[in-house]
Amino acid sequence: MITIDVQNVAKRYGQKVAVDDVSFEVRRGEIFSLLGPNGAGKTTIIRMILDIIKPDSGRIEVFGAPFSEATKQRIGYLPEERGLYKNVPLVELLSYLGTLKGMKRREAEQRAAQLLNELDLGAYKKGKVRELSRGMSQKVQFAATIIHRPELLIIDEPFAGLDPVNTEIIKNTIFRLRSEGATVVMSIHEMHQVEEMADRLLMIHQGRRVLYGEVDEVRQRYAENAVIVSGQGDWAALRGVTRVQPDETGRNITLYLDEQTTPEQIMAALASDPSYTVRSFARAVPRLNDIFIRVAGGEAKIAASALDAAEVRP
Amino acid sequence: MSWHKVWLIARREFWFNLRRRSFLASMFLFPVLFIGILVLGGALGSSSASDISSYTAVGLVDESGVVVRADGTPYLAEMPEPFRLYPAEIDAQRAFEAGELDGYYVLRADFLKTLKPEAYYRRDRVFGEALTRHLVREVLKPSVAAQVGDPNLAARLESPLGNQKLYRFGNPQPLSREALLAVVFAPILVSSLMFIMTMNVSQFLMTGLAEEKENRMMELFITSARPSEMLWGKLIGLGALSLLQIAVWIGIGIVFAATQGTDVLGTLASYQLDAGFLLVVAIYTMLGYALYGAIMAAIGASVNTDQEARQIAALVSIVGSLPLLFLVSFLLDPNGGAALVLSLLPFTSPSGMPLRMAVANVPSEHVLLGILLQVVTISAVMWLAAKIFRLGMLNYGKRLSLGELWRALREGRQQIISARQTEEAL
Repeated sequence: MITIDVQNVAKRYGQKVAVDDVSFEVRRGEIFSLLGPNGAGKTTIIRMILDIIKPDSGRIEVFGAPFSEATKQRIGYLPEERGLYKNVPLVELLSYLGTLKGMKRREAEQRAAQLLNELDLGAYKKGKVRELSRGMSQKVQFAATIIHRPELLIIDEPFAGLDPVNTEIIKNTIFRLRSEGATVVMSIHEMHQVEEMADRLLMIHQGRRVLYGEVDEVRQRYAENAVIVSGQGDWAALRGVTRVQPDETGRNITLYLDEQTTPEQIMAALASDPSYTVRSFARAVPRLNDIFIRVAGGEAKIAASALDAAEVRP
Repeated sequence: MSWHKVWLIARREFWFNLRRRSFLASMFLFPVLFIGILVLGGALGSSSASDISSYTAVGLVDESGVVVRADGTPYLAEMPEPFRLYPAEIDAQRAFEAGELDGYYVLRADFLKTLKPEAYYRRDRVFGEALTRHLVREVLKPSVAAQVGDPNLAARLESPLGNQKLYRFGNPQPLSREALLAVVFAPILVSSLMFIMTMNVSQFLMTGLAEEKENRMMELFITSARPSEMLWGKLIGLGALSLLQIAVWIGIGIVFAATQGTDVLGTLASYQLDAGFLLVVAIYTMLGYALYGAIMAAIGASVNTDQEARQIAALVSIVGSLPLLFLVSFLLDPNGGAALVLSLLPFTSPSGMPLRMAVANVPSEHVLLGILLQVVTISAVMWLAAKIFRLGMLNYGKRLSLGELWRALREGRQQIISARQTEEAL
């Protein structure tokens, strides 16, 4: 079941190409991550999905149909440019925004109070945004986004400016919404959060799609022929190891292998040789952050053409 | 358009702004200040206008025969205070120089032609208006009346049309003269009311829009409601608030007038204002408010500061007041070209049509045509304002150029903001 279907969408502003022939789908009930460096075109794509701006060409469908006023009620949007009325009590503020999304007033008030409790803001129900810290305001903004229990949640940088405790609260709420059936699209910079949270991702660079697919599959695709071990022994003496690279702590060692050697062969060699003591062993999969830097930093064109040729779209 | 959302936004705007300290202050402090100034000014004015207690003795020399007969005896048996009659100017002058008088008046032989008494006084005891009026009321008029001999004749000479009565056709109750004035002044009041409302609302709008712009709330709203719903909601909510403010001012005014012994409601009832006329005035006022409110909202969304917005708003309001500048044309030729055009043109008809109706019988098809033109123009302006509003409100921290507005309207979509952001980002 497809929640968002974007096909061959393009957007130009004068001579500038903001989005260039981008296609992707967001499936119902998944957490979908939109990645890209600043100015890549992520916010333009989000605004086109939300019908704030129109694409020059291509087609966008949300919930199986072009965007309409009725679609608005089913979407919760946390914009990158955040803001709320500063002088209005929180429950009143949230319930007003809830009623604009089609909720009954009493229902919206109850839901607002419940959300504030869940987000650890129960003590501030009668407080105003101007009395809150930046992190707290951000949580109120998040509450405003989900107060009407949207089927589709589009959140732009949800963790920006949050401390680890509040990040965890928001993250858990997103997981809970997903488990309740909501689809989540998040534009995000924190790569480790993408690895931890997202089912699939789309990376945009200079308006073009450069990475798209399951998060694990993308990481595997960029994996080098290497393993990470910890323990003791003469790692360089192993057959097939071309380079030994300890990390900053010195405890984890990356062993780069030649083309003929597989990780399984290395594991078998270590198991059969008593001069090696192995505490941990894993195949080296690159962090998304490294892939992001590689792709955004120069490999974008290569990756894009390789992806087009391979047609990796699931 | 969802009128339920319009209602939600209107209700929110009304209650939120009603609780603003600045609004409460303007609602209650303004009339208090106004009344205070009125009372103080009145007290000062009346004391300076009628107080003659500081004069102890004022000489009067009559060479004209208005106050004194040819044989030298005055027409009045007793000269009112503080006046002292002197047979010749030299006598008054001596008394003055001796310090017995504050000064003296001389009615020269040609006084009946010039009607100007000469006054001589010390610099520290100036003869003001109050003393001159006292002279006329207490000495000159009674002296003339004594010469005529018949008090009734004297009264009629003073006010030849004093007892005539005016009636409105079909109503047996006599109409006061003030009522006629009221009918002519009603459109002027309506224009003033509309001016106050549009200025009031533009002020609330500016403050509210500036807050929403500053707080980056537009993207949140635009994914919840249409710009036109937001615009109508704001205009209705703030319009209601402005009406409340005006009602409170009027209420305070009526209570204050009652404490001064004036029955405002009774006086208004005696004006016998025509219900049809009042209905037309109400319709035109509401339509005028919607038209100018939409323009104000578009201005508010396009600029960055209250000051800029108010300057433009004041200019726009002048257009609405144009019929008042052509008041003479309306009074002299209410069905002539200028009055006809100004009463039909949508930007001037809110005050123009009531003004024309006040002084002439306007064909009902003209009234309906004016309303129709208003409705069509409001629809077009609302459409335009919603586009400008949407574009301007997303354009954080920047003023819209005319070129950008034109592009946005031509393309039918707001794209400039994103173009700018993208250019900056790229």
